[in-house]
Amino acid sequence: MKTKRRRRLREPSRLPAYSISSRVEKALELPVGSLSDMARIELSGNRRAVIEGCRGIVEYGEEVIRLSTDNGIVRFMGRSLHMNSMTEDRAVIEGIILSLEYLS
Amino acid sequence: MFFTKLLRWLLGWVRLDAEGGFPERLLNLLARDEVAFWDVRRGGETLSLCCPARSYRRLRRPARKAGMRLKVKQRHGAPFFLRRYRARPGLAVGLLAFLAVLQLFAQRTWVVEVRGNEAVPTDEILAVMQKLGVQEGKDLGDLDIPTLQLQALHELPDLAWCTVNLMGSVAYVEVTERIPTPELSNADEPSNIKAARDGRIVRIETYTGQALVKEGDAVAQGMLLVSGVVESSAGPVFRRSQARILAETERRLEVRVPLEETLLLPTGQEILRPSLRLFTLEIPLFTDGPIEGQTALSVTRHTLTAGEIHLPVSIINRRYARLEPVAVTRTPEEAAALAAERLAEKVEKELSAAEIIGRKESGRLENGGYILSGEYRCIEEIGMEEQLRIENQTAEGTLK
Repeated sequence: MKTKRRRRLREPSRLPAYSISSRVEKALELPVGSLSDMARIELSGNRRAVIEGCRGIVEYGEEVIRLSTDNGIVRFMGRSLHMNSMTEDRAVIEGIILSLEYLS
Repeated sequence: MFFTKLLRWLLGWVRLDAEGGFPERLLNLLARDEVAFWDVRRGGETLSLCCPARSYRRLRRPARKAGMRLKVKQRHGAPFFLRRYRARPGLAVGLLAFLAVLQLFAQRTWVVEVRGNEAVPTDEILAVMQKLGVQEGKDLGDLDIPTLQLQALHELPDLAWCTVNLMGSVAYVEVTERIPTPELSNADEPSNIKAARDGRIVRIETYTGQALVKEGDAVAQGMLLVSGVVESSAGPVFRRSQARILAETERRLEVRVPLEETLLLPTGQEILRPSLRLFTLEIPLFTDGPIEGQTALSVTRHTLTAGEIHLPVSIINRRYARLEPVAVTRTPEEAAALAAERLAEKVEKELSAAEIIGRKESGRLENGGYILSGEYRCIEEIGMEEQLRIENQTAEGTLK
């Protein structure tokens, strides 16, 4: 019995390495990002995106807006894009959003 | 969103263009410095954004760091709107005065209106209410309605109920009049019917009591016509007498018109004394002094109205018609005509309840006056009820 348990514990995980907060979230079945620092993006159709956890603007244009987040760079592509408002960790982008990409 | 826009408008905001340099860096620096900005648009090399008017100075350093030049394009909001009227302090004073007057008047009663009365005059109710503190121009917010009700009903016994309802600046005095209890025929109160005047009975209808006269009998004033003491087999029984007694009577009326007399007559000259009444304050709109001599006063009040509501602003016109003693001389014919007119008025007033079946009028000149006498034969009710006072009911009924 003891041998089996050790073998199970030593079995390498197939998932990528998680931070402690991510493991607690998983163990307690909390929503992802509730304890860990993860950018949260809320889309209202293709007209409005609210990005929480925004660390700054990398590129700003009418067709492309790139934002720096904790999870990397997020690129919004579309038409007539503009920033409705922005604070230190929050940004609101409006316009016609055609695509959203994470750039590692 | 509406409140956000309202707040921005109240605080004032500007739209500015930033040219050259690094727009992204400018936005990042603004976000880091917690400078509020919104509606960021990119047009070529120009970045257009909005920010609160007060934050504009805080944009200079980030713009310099980002290598951008700032240029204000538009100014919006209350501070910029009010700045235009900075050189006109009268407008601000007027606005403040208007608000002060509005606040003052909103707390006051503009109109006191009485509702629900028919028999009790409105002026009488208003006079009592004024005595109790309900009047135009007063702040009735802390009115003690229950105490007011008690005092008003004590002062106005013809009212059964009253209250004061405040609706905005109008105080409605709602009243309900007392319905008098009908006089009931009480058989326990024995009474007689006596003759109110001399005459000859032409018709008698006795409902209760014992009739002591019959049709055709001549009666004198004070004579007992129907007795409340009714004889029965068990002895005298006391009743209340009820009867309709019509008699033919002789009535004599007389008027006198002097041929010469001194009367106070208007000269045609009229003095107008207008005044402006604002709530309870009356401001005279005349400058001349007191009026001397004898005058007849007539008052007209013109109240400012809004729809059906009377406002507490009115013009009161007092017209004083000058009177002066005038010696009037009448011819006998004029005196006779005037006497006939006055006699007709007197007949109308005194013999309204009687049926006149014959009349004889004669005039004569006597002691510098014209005397017109009228003798009238009338059919009228002469019964007059008088209560029976019984001193000893166990023994014989003693009438008083």
